Amino acid sequence: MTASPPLLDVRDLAVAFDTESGTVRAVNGVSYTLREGETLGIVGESGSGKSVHVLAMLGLVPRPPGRITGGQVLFRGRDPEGHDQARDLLAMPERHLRRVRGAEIGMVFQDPMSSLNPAMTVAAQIAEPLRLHLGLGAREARARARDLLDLVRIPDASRRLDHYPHEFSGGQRQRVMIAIGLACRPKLLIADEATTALDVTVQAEIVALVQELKREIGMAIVWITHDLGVVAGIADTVQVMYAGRIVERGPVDAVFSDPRNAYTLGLLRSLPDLSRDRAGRQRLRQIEGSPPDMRHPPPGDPFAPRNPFATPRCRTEAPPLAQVEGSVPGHLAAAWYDLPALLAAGAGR
Amino acid sequence: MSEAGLSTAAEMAAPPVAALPPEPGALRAFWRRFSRRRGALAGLVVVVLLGILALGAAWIAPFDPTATDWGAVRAAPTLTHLFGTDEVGRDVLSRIVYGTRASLGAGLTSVALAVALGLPLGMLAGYAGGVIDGAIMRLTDALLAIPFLILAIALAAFLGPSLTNAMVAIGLSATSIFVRLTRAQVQAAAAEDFVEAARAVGNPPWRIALHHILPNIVPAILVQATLTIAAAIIAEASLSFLGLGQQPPEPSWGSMLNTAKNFLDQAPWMAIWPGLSIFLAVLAFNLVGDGLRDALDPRERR
Repeated sequence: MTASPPLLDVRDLAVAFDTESGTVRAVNGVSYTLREGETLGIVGESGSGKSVHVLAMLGLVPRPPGRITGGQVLFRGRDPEGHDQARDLLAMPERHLRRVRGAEIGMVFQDPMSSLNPAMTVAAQIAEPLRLHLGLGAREARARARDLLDLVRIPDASRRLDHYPHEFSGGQRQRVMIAIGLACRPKLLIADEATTALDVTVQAEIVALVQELKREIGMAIVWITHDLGVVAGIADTVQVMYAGRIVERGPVDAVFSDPRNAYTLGLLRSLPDLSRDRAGRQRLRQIEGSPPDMRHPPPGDPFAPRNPFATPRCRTEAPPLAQVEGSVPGHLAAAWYDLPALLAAGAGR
Repeated sequence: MSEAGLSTAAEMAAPPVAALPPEPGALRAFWRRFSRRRGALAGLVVVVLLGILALGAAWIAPFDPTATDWGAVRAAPTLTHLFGTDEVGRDVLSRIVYGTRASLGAGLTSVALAVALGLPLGMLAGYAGGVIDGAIMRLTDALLAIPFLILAIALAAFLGPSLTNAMVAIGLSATSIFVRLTRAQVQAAAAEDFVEAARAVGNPPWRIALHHILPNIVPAILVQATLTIAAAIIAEASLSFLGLGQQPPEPSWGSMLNTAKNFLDQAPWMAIWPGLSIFLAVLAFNLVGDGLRDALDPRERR
């Protein structure tokens, strides 16, 4: 699609957890690419593997019980000599990976209340990646920390440097987390449910801030969420995950207006539609059933047991992720059934 | 008393006590919560007074604590000898004042030793896990199976009678408490989100342990240390009572009690004052420890 090689190239990533009651296959062969400067929204319910696969790429899944059972994650970052080169994060020794974490890939976590160290000033926490990766001294790092607080629009930055996290509001703490994530100007920022724990108005502020920062810095973003509204607002590409697989992926407009996987449709239908008038009031549709037990995933399409459109083939054979015919290039879906045709015929009402 | 003070370690282990940031606002808030408790405040006053006595003993004590006066053997309290004299005519008040040194010194030194050994071992066990954790914890469990005082007596007897050896014996006996507490606190702290965030920033494990986990477990260690000082004071008094601690003629509350027991009918003041001193010192440290715990408890914020 583009001439330049991708920033991130995930190939067939698989992650499993060994538990006492069996092996949980949390991620099962996830493959995708991310261009420089692209914003990818990853959606799915809890346990879909959306967070775990990202933590696994960065070596943050505790081992044991976690285990990377296969795949490659090629990230085009600076190698030790300072050249841009695609290297497999999964094959890197831990001490090399530590130089990628926080330096070339920044991370923002879900709960800003607990993700900041209560016993450290925000200046010390923002300065940490700068001192670790750029080798800055205390004074320089502090000056940069103040600039970063400015960057994430925290008023009166110089005075607030020596404050502790409990003196900041939830939204401000998430701004501090973003400042830490962006401190070393990474090529990629991963936000793992970064707005989930915040009030709706604060969520909007954080999303707006990230969009502004993206314009200023130009990093690529992987935004993991279960909030489709946020994805619609922020992402270029959306990727829907279910049971440790990608079930649909493509440009946001294409996927949201013309979903081809029944799970994507279910997610979209579970959203309230504010544009409807009162007379057309509609019950929110929930997706029946519950996610599969990943110790014993069903054969075939893992969503088939909950899928009103499932065909006999769905129950025996897992569909591949393939280009959707009649949609824009890059719109991929995993389905044996033809969702638009079924909907037109009145199925699944 | 000592058993009660020690058993709190296990109960405290579960929730990590909130951090104590060295920042004026937070310190003031901490002081407000602490000083609201009258018992804690009273305990702190006694501890400070005992500290002054120990440091200023040479100026405060009216007599040389080892000087004998055969003209006033087992004399009842008078204006000259406010607390009376002992079986060789030494001034009991002066011996109590100097005895503060042995008691506080033993309490502080032995607990410092216990923390110095227990904290690194506990952090290693809690953070490294696996075989290292197993080895350290089995050894700790074995030591914890022996009652604190019995272990201290055995060690002191093995090392030979002297105040220094008594301190070492008490310190070694108390180490396992700190290993266990530190390990539990480290494990609780290591599961916190901010530790994962610290890893995501690229911190190496040693930095996470020292910069991110340690500051967050200090309050819990501080509380336990204060309570253990009380237990160590009793232990020192017990060892000295048995002749395993401070050696005569140097004064110690425990050894004073030992001689006093022979003269309970004729000279009860010889027993009352050291007994009261031990009681006060132990009570004071326990009150301060309880106050610290309450003031640092995140569930009782505001």
